[in-house]
Parts: sequence; structure tokens; C-alpha cells
Amino acid sequence: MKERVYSKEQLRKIWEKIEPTKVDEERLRIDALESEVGRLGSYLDIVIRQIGLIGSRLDKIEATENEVEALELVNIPEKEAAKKVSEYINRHPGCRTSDIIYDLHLNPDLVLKVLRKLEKQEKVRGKDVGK
Amino acid sequence: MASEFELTPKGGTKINFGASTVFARKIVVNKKPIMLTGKHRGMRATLDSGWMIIEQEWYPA
Repeated sequence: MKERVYSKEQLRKIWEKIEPTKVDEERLRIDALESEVGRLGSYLDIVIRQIGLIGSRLDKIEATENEVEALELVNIPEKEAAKKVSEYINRHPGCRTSDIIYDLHLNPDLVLKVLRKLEKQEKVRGKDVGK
Repeated sequence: MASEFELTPKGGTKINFGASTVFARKIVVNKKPIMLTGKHRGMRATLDSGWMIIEQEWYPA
């Protein structure tokens, strides 16, 4: 078989046909990017799942904090309350009415009644605040 | 039954106090400064369902 001889110009034209065009290169790059996006997408799914888990754990922690037992302000016999309040005032001169209620866990109506009685008996002295 | 130390003022009442403590179901504090009087600045707290103690200081006699 006779061997064909190509001119330089013909070879260039043939080579242009064989060489991937710019469009093909772009397609290859897009394919590569798409596969990268797919890979990152799967990572993103994992991250989103982890964030969800953290969120549910935070909700649980918050719920636990909200379950902190409420302080109960109790009623006790008046005599016993008077003794406790008097002792508290001796230990904390200048304390406020709400401090007594809060620190002794006593019903506010009981504390106010007891304070009035102690004041009448001149065992304690009350002073309005800001006057 | 309400005690003799208890008041339930009608809506539209303004209560002045030197110091008070509130025990309430809901307390929302808004710290944006507000003029209480010409000289005094303060802030706002919105309270739902509770009671307020007008404070006194107590000393041994």
C-alpha cells in the first residue's frame, strides 16, 4: 500500500480535528466541578445532621435548666415565723422585706403580718426606702 | 382571702415607690433609657401576673 504524504497544512488541519476543542475542555472541567460539588454535598449533609444533633442536645439542656425546682414560699405557725424573722433581722440589719421572704422561704402575707407585730412590740424597726 | 397588707389597685393606677421587688409569672426588661422625671433616667419592665412588695429596711430595735 502506498504511503500517503501530508503537507504541513494538512497535518495541522487533521490535528485540529483530533485535539479536544475548548468546549470539550470546559465540559471536562464542569464534570470535575460537578463531582466535587457532589462530594462536598455529601459532607454538607453530614454537617447538617451534626448541627441537628447539637440543636436537639441544646434543647434538652435548656429543658433541664427550665425544670429547676421553683422556690416554695410556705406558711408556718406565726410564733415560729416571728422567731425566724427576728433572728434574720438581727443577723442582717438593713435587710429588705423581700430578702426576708426570699431567704426564709416564707409566705409574703405571713412575713408582712409578723413584721407589723414585731414592730408593734418594738422588737424591730422598719424604715421606708428612699425617704 | 386578701390580707390587710394587700391592695389590688384598679387598672389605670400609677404606683410610686422608693424600692420594690416583684414576683411575677413573666418579667421582660427593656433597658432602653427613658426619662422618669426631668432629672431621672430609668428603664422599663413589663410584668405579667404577680405581686409587688413595697420595700422597707428592717433593723433590730
